[in-house]
Amino acid sequence: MEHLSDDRLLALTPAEPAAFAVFYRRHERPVLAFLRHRTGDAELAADLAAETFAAALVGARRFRPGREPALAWLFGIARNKWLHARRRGAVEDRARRRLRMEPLVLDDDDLERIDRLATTEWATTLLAELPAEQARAVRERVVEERSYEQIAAAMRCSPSVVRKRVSRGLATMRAAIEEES
Amino acid sequence: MSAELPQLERLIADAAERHYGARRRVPAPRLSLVAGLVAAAAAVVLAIAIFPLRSDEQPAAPPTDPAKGLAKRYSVFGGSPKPSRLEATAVQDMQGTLDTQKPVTTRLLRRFHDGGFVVLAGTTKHGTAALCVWEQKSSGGSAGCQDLSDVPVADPWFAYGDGVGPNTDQIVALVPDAVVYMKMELKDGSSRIVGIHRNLAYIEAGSPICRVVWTFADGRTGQERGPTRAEEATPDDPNPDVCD
Repeated sequence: MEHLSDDRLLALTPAEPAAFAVFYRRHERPVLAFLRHRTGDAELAADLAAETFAAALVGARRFRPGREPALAWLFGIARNKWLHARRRGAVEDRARRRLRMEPLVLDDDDLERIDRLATTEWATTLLAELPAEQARAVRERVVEERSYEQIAAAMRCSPSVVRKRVSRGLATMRAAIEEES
Repeated sequence: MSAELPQLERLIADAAERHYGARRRVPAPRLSLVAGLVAAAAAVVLAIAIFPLRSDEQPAAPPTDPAKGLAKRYSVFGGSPKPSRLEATAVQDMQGTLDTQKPVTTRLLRRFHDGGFVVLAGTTKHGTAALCVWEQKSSGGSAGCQDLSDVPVADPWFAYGDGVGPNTDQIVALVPDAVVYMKMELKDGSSRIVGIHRNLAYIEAGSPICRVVWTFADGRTGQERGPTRAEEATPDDPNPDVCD
Protein backbone atom coordinates (compact mmCIF):
# COMPACT_ATOMS: atom_id res chain seq x y z
CA MET A 1 0.00 0.00 0.00
CA GLU A 2 3.03 2.25 0.55
CA HIS A 3 3.31 2.93 -3.18
CA LEU A 4 -0.23 4.32 -3.51
CA SER A 5 -0.85 8.03 -3.99
CA ASP A 6 -2.36 10.13 -1.21
CA ASP A 7 -5.59 10.43 -3.19
CA ARG A 8 -5.84 6.69 -3.55
CA LEU A 9 -5.06 6.07 0.14
CA LEU A 10 -7.86 8.42 1.21
CA ALA A 11 -10.26 6.87 -1.29
CA LEU A 12 -9.40 3.39 -0.03
CA THR A 13 -9.68 4.24 3.67
CA PRO A 14 -13.42 3.48 4.07
CA ALA A 15 -12.97 0.03 2.55
CA GLU A 16 -9.45 -0.60 3.82
CA PRO A 17 -8.84 1.37 7.06
CA ALA A 18 -5.15 0.37 7.12
CA ALA A 19 -4.67 2.78 4.20
CA PHE A 20 -5.08 5.70 6.59
CA ALA A 21 -2.19 4.48 8.76
CA VAL A 22 0.04 4.72 5.69
CA PHE A 23 -1.29 8.25 5.05
CA TYR A 24 -0.56 9.12 8.70
CA ARG A 25 3.01 7.84 8.61
CA ARG A 26 3.65 9.67 5.36
CA HIS A 27 2.53 13.08 6.66
CA GLU A 28 3.05 12.96 10.42
CA ARG A 29 6.39 14.81 10.34
CA PRO A 30 5.45 17.79 8.19
CA VAL A 31 2.21 18.26 10.13
CA LEU A 32 3.98 18.08 13.50
CA ALA A 33 6.72 20.43 12.27
CA PHE A 34 4.13 22.88 10.96
CA LEU A 35 2.13 22.87 14.21
CA ARG A 36 5.23 23.05 16.41
CA HIS A 37 6.44 26.00 14.35
CA ARG A 38 3.08 27.76 14.71
CA THR A 39 2.48 27.06 18.40
CA GLY A 40 6.04 27.02 19.72
CA ASP A 41 4.91 24.23 22.05
CA ALA A 42 5.61 20.53 21.42
CA GLU A 43 2.78 19.27 23.62
CA LEU A 44 0.24 21.56 22.02
CA ALA A 45 1.53 20.61 18.57
CA ALA A 46 1.04 16.90 19.33
CA ASP A 47 -2.47 17.55 20.65
CA LEU A 48 -3.36 19.53 17.53
CA ALA A 49 -1.80 16.89 15.27
CA ALA A 50 -3.92 14.19 16.94
CA GLU A 51 -7.09 16.22 16.34
CA THR A 52 -5.97 17.07 12.80
CA PHE A 53 -5.48 13.43 11.81
CA ALA A 54 -8.69 12.39 13.58
CA ALA A 55 -10.63 15.02 11.62
CA ALA A 56 -8.91 13.92 8.40
CA LEU A 57 -9.85 10.32 9.16
CA VAL A 58 -13.51 11.22 9.69
CA GLY A 59 -13.44 13.34 6.54
CA ALA A 60 -11.44 10.90 4.37
CA ARG A 61 -14.55 9.66 2.60
CA ARG A 62 -15.48 13.18 1.61
CA PHE A 63 -12.04 14.20 0.37
CA ARG A 64 -12.31 15.27 -3.25
CA PRO A 65 -9.06 14.91 -5.14
CA GLY A 66 -8.35 17.20 -8.04
CA ARG A 67 -9.16 20.45 -6.28
CA GLU A 68 -5.90 20.45 -4.34
CA PRO A 69 -3.23 17.96 -3.24
CA ALA A 70 -4.11 15.83 -0.19
CA LEU A 71 -1.24 17.35 1.79
CA ALA A 72 -2.63 20.85 1.20
CA TRP A 73 -6.04 19.58 2.34
CA LEU A 74 -4.41 18.12 5.47
CA PHE A 75 -2.52 21.35 6.16
CA GLY A 76 -5.81 23.21 5.76
CA ILE A 77 -7.32 21.08 8.53
CA ALA A 78 -4.21 21.57 10.70
CA ARG A 79 -4.35 25.31 10.20
CA ASN A 80 -8.05 25.43 11.11
CA LYS A 81 -7.43 23.44 14.27
CA TRP A 82 -4.59 25.75 15.22
CA LEU A 83 -6.68 28.88 14.56
CA HIS A 84 -9.57 27.42 16.52
CA ALA A 85 -7.26 26.63 19.44
CA ARG A 86 -5.82 30.15 19.33
CA ARG A 87 -9.28 31.72 19.39
CA ARG A 88 -10.70 29.48 22.09
CA GLY A 89 -7.53 28.98 24.12
CA ALA A 90 -8.13 25.22 24.01
CA VAL A 91 -7.57 22.45 21.51
CA GLU A 92 -10.76 21.06 20.04
CA ASP A 93 -11.29 17.34 20.56
CA ARG A 94 -14.54 16.80 18.68
CA ALA A 95 -13.14 14.42 16.07
CA ARG A 96 -11.26 12.40 18.68
CA ARG A 97 -14.41 12.09 20.82
CA ARG A 98 -16.36 10.99 17.80
CA LEU A 99 -13.75 8.33 17.14
CA ARG A 100 -13.59 7.41 20.84
CA MET A 101 -9.81 7.88 20.79
CA GLU A 102 -7.90 7.57 24.03
CA PRO A 103 -5.91 10.61 25.15
CA LEU A 104 -2.39 10.89 23.82
CA VAL A 105 0.17 10.51 26.59
CA LEU A 106 3.53 12.08 25.77
CA ASP A 107 6.85 11.50 27.45
CA ASP A 108 9.97 13.65 27.36
CA ASP A 109 11.40 11.73 24.43
CA ASP A 110 8.28 12.40 22.35
CA LEU A 111 8.42 16.12 23.13
CA GLU A 112 12.12 16.23 22.35
CA ARG A 113 11.53 14.59 18.95
CA ILE A 114 8.82 17.13 18.12
CA ASP A 115 11.08 20.00 19.19
CA ARG A 116 13.84 18.59 17.02
CA LEU A 117 11.48 18.61 14.04
CA ALA A 118 10.97 22.31 14.55
CA THR A 119 14.60 23.15 15.19
CA THR A 120 15.62 21.41 12.03
CA GLU A 121 13.02 23.68 10.45
CA TRP A 122 12.14 21.08 7.93
CA ALA A 123 9.34 22.90 6.27
CA THR A 124 11.39 26.08 5.84
CA THR A 125 14.48 24.22 4.74
CA LEU A 126 12.57 22.08 2.31
CA LEU A 127 10.77 25.07 0.88
CA ALA A 128 14.10 26.81 0.40
CA GLU A 129 15.40 23.83 -1.53
CA LEU A 130 12.56 23.96 -4.04
CA PRO A 131 12.84 25.86 -7.31
CA ALA A 132 11.76 29.45 -6.59
CA GLU A 133 8.50 29.25 -8.52
CA GLN A 134 7.43 26.01 -6.83
CA ALA A 135 8.37 27.34 -3.39
CA ARG A 136 6.36 30.48 -3.96
CA ALA A 137 3.35 28.51 -5.20
CA VAL A 138 3.47 26.12 -2.23
CA ARG A 139 3.94 28.93 0.28
CA GLU A 140 1.11 31.03 -1.10
CA ARG A 141 -1.26 28.10 -1.47
CA VAL A 142 -0.53 26.05 1.66
CA VAL A 143 0.66 28.63 4.16
CA GLU A 144 -1.19 31.74 3.05
CA GLU A 145 -4.25 29.88 1.73
CA ARG A 146 -4.59 31.98 -1.41
CA SER A 147 -6.72 30.62 -4.22
CA TYR A 148 -5.11 29.18 -7.34
CA GLU A 149 -6.64 32.00 -9.33
CA GLN A 150 -5.14 34.65 -7.03
CA ILE A 151 -1.71 33.04 -7.16
CA ALA A 152 -1.96 32.67 -10.93
CA ALA A 153 -2.74 36.36 -11.30
CA ALA A 154 0.20 37.29 -9.09
CA MET A 155 2.56 34.92 -10.86
CA ARG A 156 1.22 35.80 -14.32
CA CYS A 157 0.42 32.26 -15.34
CA SER A 158 -2.64 30.03 -15.55
CA PRO A 159 -4.22 28.39 -12.48
CA SER A 160 -3.40 24.95 -13.92
CA VAL A 161 0.30 25.87 -13.99
CA VAL A 162 0.05 26.93 -10.34
CA ARG A 163 -1.63 23.62 -9.49
CA LYS A 164 1.23 21.75 -11.14
CA ARG A 165 3.83 23.79 -9.28
CA VAL A 166 2.11 23.19 -5.93
CA SER A 167 1.72 19.51 -6.65
CA ARG A 168 5.34 19.08 -7.76
CA GLY A 169 6.64 21.15 -4.87
CA LEU A 170 4.73 19.12 -2.30
CA ALA A 171 5.82 15.86 -3.93
CA THR A 172 9.46 16.95 -3.76
CA MET A 173 9.07 17.96 -0.11
CA ARG A 174 7.49 14.65 0.74
CA ALA A 175 10.23 12.70 -1.01
CA ALA A 176 12.85 14.67 0.90
CA ILE A 177 11.10 13.99 4.21
CA GLU A 178 10.96 10.28 3.45
CA GLU A 179 14.63 10.27 2.50
CA GLU A 180 15.54 12.10 5.70
CA SER A 181 13.61 9.62 7.83
CA MET B 1 9.12 4.72 7.64
CA SER B 2 8.72 4.87 11.44
CA ALA B 3 6.50 7.43 13.12
CA GLU B 4 7.72 10.17 15.47
CA LEU B 5 4.74 9.43 17.72
CA PRO B 6 4.12 5.67 17.53
CA GLN B 7 1.39 5.95 20.15
CA LEU B 8 -0.57 8.40 18.00
CA GLU B 9 -0.03 6.18 14.98
CA ARG B 10 -1.57 3.27 16.92
CA LEU B 11 -4.48 5.40 18.17
CA ILE B 12 -5.21 6.59 14.63
CA ALA B 13 -4.93 3.06 13.15
CA ASP B 14 -7.28 1.68 15.83
CA ALA B 15 -9.72 4.55 15.29
CA ALA B 16 -9.69 3.95 11.53
CA GLU B 17 -10.49 0.29 12.06
CA ARG B 18 -13.29 1.09 14.52
CA HIS B 19 -14.76 3.88 12.40
CA TYR B 20 -14.65 2.25 8.99
CA GLY B 21 -13.91 -1.41 9.77
CA ALA B 22 -17.05 -1.74 11.87
CA ARG B 23 -19.04 -0.29 8.99
CA ARG B 24 -17.38 -2.59 6.54
CA ARG B 25 -18.31 -5.56 8.74
CA VAL B 26 -16.08 -8.08 7.12
CA PRO B 27 -15.15 -9.98 10.27
CA ALA B 28 -12.45 -12.56 10.66
CA PRO B 29 -13.86 -16.09 10.78
CA ARG B 30 -15.07 -17.07 14.20
CA LEU B 31 -13.28 -19.89 15.97
CA SER B 32 -16.31 -22.17 15.72
CA LEU B 33 -16.42 -21.56 11.99
CA VAL B 34 -12.71 -22.33 11.68
CA ALA B 35 -13.20 -25.54 13.67
CA GLY B 36 -16.13 -26.47 11.44
CA LEU B 37 -14.10 -25.85 8.31
CA VAL B 38 -11.18 -27.89 9.65
CA ALA B 39 -13.56 -30.77 10.45
CA ALA B 40 -15.14 -30.52 7.01
CA ALA B 41 -11.72 -30.49 5.34
CA ALA B 42 -10.69 -33.54 7.35
CA ALA B 43 -13.87 -35.34 6.27
CA VAL B 44 -13.15 -34.52 2.64
CA VAL B 45 -9.55 -35.78 2.91
CA LEU B 46 -10.82 -38.96 4.56
CA ALA B 47 -13.45 -39.47 1.87
CA ILE B 48 -10.88 -39.02 -0.88
CA ALA B 49 -8.57 -41.51 0.81
CA ILE B 50 -11.34 -44.09 1.14
CA PHE B 51 -12.99 -43.45 -2.22
CA PRO B 52 -10.21 -42.29 -4.58
CA LEU B 53 -11.29 -40.66 -7.84
CA ARG B 54 -11.45 -42.88 -10.86
CA SER B 55 -9.28 -41.74 -13.73
CA ASP B 56 -12.35 -40.61 -15.73
CA GLU B 57 -13.80 -38.57 -12.83
CA GLN B 58 -13.23 -34.83 -12.59
CA PRO B 59 -11.85 -33.14 -9.48
CA ALA B 60 -14.08 -31.04 -7.22
CA ALA B 61 -16.04 -28.14 -8.73
CA PRO B 62 -14.40 -24.69 -8.66
CA PRO B 63 -15.25 -22.32 -5.77
CA THR B 64 -18.85 -21.15 -5.66
CA ASP B 65 -19.57 -17.75 -7.13
CA PRO B 66 -21.00 -15.49 -4.38
CA ALA B 67 -23.01 -13.70 -7.08
CA LYS B 68 -25.05 -16.85 -7.66
CA GLY B 69 -28.64 -16.16 -6.75
CA LEU B 70 -28.19 -12.41 -6.46
CA ALA B 71 -30.03 -11.82 -9.75
CA LYS B 72 -33.25 -12.85 -8.00
CA ARG B 73 -32.79 -9.91 -5.62
CA TYR B 74 -31.00 -7.40 -7.86
CA SER B 75 -31.83 -7.69 -11.54
CA VAL B 76 -28.59 -5.87 -12.42
CA PHE B 77 -26.83 -9.18 -11.75
CA GLY B 78 -28.94 -10.91 -14.41
CA GLY B 79 -28.08 -11.06 -18.08
CA SER B 80 -24.72 -11.35 -19.72
CA PRO B 81 -21.88 -9.32 -18.25
CA LYS B 82 -20.14 -6.78 -20.46
CA PRO B 83 -17.02 -6.03 -18.43
CA SER B 84 -15.84 -2.44 -18.72
CA ARG B 85 -12.52 -0.85 -17.90
CA LEU B 86 -14.16 0.76 -14.86
CA GLU B 87 -15.07 -2.67 -13.49
CA ALA B 88 -11.50 -3.89 -14.00
CA THR B 89 -10.25 -0.85 -12.06
CA ALA B 90 -12.76 -1.57 -9.29
CA VAL B 91 -11.52 -5.17 -8.94
CA GLN B 92 -7.93 -3.97 -8.85
CA ASP B 93 -8.76 -1.36 -6.20
CA MET B 94 -10.61 -3.83 -4.00
CA GLN B 95 -7.97 -6.54 -4.02
CA GLY B 96 -6.95 -5.54 -0.49
CA THR B 97 -10.40 -6.68 0.67
CA LEU B 98 -11.57 -9.24 -1.88
CA ASP B 99 -9.68 -12.37 -2.81
CA THR B 100 -9.20 -11.89 -6.54
CA GLN B 101 -8.01 -15.48 -6.95
CA LYS B 102 -11.65 -16.44 -6.42
CA PRO B 103 -14.58 -15.42 -8.63
CA VAL B 104 -15.46 -11.72 -8.44
CA THR B 105 -18.59 -10.69 -10.31
CA THR B 106 -18.94 -7.05 -11.23
CA ARG B 107 -21.71 -4.95 -12.68
CA LEU B 108 -21.58 -1.34 -13.73
CA LEU B 109 -24.35 0.46 -11.85
CA ARG B 110 -23.93 3.94 -13.18
CA ARG B 111 -21.46 5.74 -15.38
CA PHE B 112 -20.42 9.38 -15.21
CA HIS B 113 -18.27 11.23 -17.69
CA ASP B 114 -15.41 10.88 -15.19
CA GLY B 115 -16.14 7.54 -13.50
CA GLY B 116 -19.06 5.67 -12.06
CA PHE B 117 -20.37 3.13 -9.57
CA VAL B 118 -19.60 -0.60 -9.69
CA VAL B 119 -21.03 -3.39 -7.53
CA LEU B 120 -18.77 -6.35 -6.79
CA ALA B 121 -19.75 -9.75 -5.41
CA GLY B 122 -16.80 -11.81 -4.24
CA THR B 123 -15.06 -13.57 -1.40
CA THR B 124 -13.17 -11.63 1.24
CA LYS B 125 -9.64 -12.52 2.28
CA HIS B 126 -11.30 -14.04 5.37
CA GLY B 127 -13.27 -16.41 3.14
CA THR B 128 -16.72 -14.89 3.53
CA ALA B 129 -18.99 -13.93 0.63
CA ALA B 130 -19.31 -10.15 0.43
CA LEU B 131 -20.88 -7.37 -1.58
CA CYS B 132 -19.02 -4.14 -2.28
CA VAL B 133 -20.05 -0.89 -3.92
CA TRP B 134 -17.14 1.05 -5.41
CA GLU B 135 -17.28 4.64 -6.58
CA GLN B 136 -14.86 6.62 -8.67
CA LYS B 137 -15.11 10.17 -9.94
CA SER B 138 -12.45 12.70 -10.78
CA SER B 139 -13.62 14.56 -7.68
CA GLY B 140 -13.13 11.56 -5.40
CA GLY B 141 -13.70 7.92 -4.75
CA SER B 142 -15.09 5.65 -2.09
CA ALA B 143 -16.11 2.08 -1.39
CA GLY B 144 -18.13 0.07 1.08
CA CYS B 145 -18.27 -3.68 1.66
CA GLN B 146 -20.38 -5.94 3.80
CA ASP B 147 -20.65 -9.65 4.37
CA LEU B 148 -23.40 -10.95 2.13
CA SER B 149 -25.07 -12.53 5.16
CA ASP B 150 -25.38 -9.06 6.74
CA VAL B 151 -26.75 -7.32 3.64
CA PRO B 152 -30.51 -6.77 4.06
CA VAL B 153 -32.45 -9.16 1.85
CA ALA B 154 -35.54 -7.02 1.22
CA ASP B 155 -34.46 -3.52 2.26
CA PRO B 156 -31.94 -1.20 0.60
CA TRP B 157 -28.33 -1.64 1.69
CA PHE B 158 -26.69 1.70 2.50
CA ALA B 159 -23.34 0.72 1.13
CA TYR B 160 -21.13 3.21 2.96
CA GLY B 161 -22.63 2.33 6.30
CA ASP B 162 -23.49 5.94 7.07
CA GLY B 163 -27.22 5.47 7.30
CA VAL B 164 -28.78 8.91 7.51
CA GLY B 165 -28.48 11.80 9.95
CA PRO B 166 -27.03 15.27 10.39
CA ASN B 167 -23.63 14.28 9.01
CA THR B 168 -24.96 12.59 5.87
CA ASP B 169 -25.82 14.54 2.77
CA GLN B 170 -25.70 11.76 0.23
CA ILE B 171 -27.34 8.40 -0.35
CA VAL B 172 -25.53 5.48 -1.94
CA ALA B 173 -27.64 2.35 -1.60
CA LEU B 174 -28.02 -0.94 -3.42
CA VAL B 175 -31.78 -1.39 -3.74
CA PRO B 176 -33.54 -4.74 -4.30
CA ASP B 177 -36.01 -4.99 -7.18
CA ALA B 178 -38.83 -5.29 -4.64
CA VAL B 179 -38.43 -1.60 -3.75
CA VAL B 180 -40.21 0.60 -6.27
CA TYR B 181 -40.01 4.08 -4.76
CA MET B 182 -37.70 5.96 -2.43
CA LYS B 183 -38.06 9.36 -0.80
CA MET B 184 -35.82 11.34 1.54
CA GLU B 185 -36.61 14.01 4.12
CA LEU B 186 -34.06 16.75 4.69
CA LYS B 187 -33.29 18.60 7.90
CA ASP B 188 -35.02 21.70 6.58
CA GLY B 189 -38.28 19.72 6.40
CA SER B 190 -38.41 19.35 2.62
CA SER B 191 -38.78 16.00 0.81
CA ARG B 192 -37.26 14.73 -2.42
CA ILE B 193 -37.60 11.60 -4.51
CA VAL B 194 -34.47 9.47 -4.69
CA GLY B 195 -33.96 8.05 -8.18
CA ILE B 196 -33.20 4.31 -8.48
CA HIS B 197 -31.34 3.16 -11.57
CA ARG B 198 -29.93 -0.34 -12.10
CA ASN B 199 -30.54 -1.13 -8.42
CA LEU B 200 -28.53 1.91 -7.31
CA ALA B 201 -30.08 4.75 -5.33
CA TYR B 202 -27.72 7.69 -5.48
CA ILE B 203 -28.26 11.33 -4.66
CA GLU B 204 -26.16 14.24 -3.39
CA ALA B 205 -28.68 16.19 -1.32
CA GLY B 206 -26.44 19.11 -0.38
CA SER B 207 -27.95 19.25 3.10
CA PRO B 208 -28.44 16.76 5.96
CA ILE B 209 -30.72 13.81 5.22
CA CYS B 210 -32.80 12.95 8.26
CA ARG B 211 -35.03 10.17 6.98
CA VAL B 212 -35.35 7.87 3.97
CA VAL B 213 -38.59 6.03 3.30
CA TRP B 214 -39.01 3.32 0.69
CA THR B 215 -42.06 1.59 -0.69
CA PHE B 216 -42.32 -2.00 -1.87
CA ALA B 217 -44.37 -3.13 -4.86
CA ASP B 218 -47.03 -4.51 -2.51
CA GLY B 219 -47.45 -1.14 -0.79
CA ARG B 220 -45.50 -1.89 2.39
CA THR B 221 -42.94 0.67 3.48
CA GLY B 222 -39.61 0.70 5.27
CA GLN B 223 -37.46 3.50 6.62
CA GLU B 224 -34.06 4.58 7.87
CA ARG B 225 -33.87 7.61 10.14
CA GLY B 226 -31.14 9.60 11.80
CA PRO B 227 -30.44 9.30 15.53
CA THR B 228 -32.54 11.34 17.94
CA ARG B 229 -31.28 13.60 20.71
CA ALA B 230 -32.33 11.04 23.31
CA GLU B 231 -30.27 8.36 21.59
CA GLU B 232 -27.15 10.44 21.01
CA ALA B 233 -26.85 12.64 24.11
CA THR B 234 -24.08 11.75 26.54
CA PRO B 235 -22.96 13.47 29.78
CA ASP B 236 -19.98 14.87 27.82
CA ASP B 237 -22.12 16.05 24.94
CA PRO B 238 -25.70 16.74 26.10
CA ASN B 239 -26.58 18.64 22.90
CA PRO B 240 -25.40 16.50 20.00
CA ASP B 241 -25.99 17.51 16.42
CA VAL B 242 -29.10 15.51 15.52
CA CYS B 243 -32.11 15.86 13.27
CA ASP B 244 -34.89 16.28 15.85
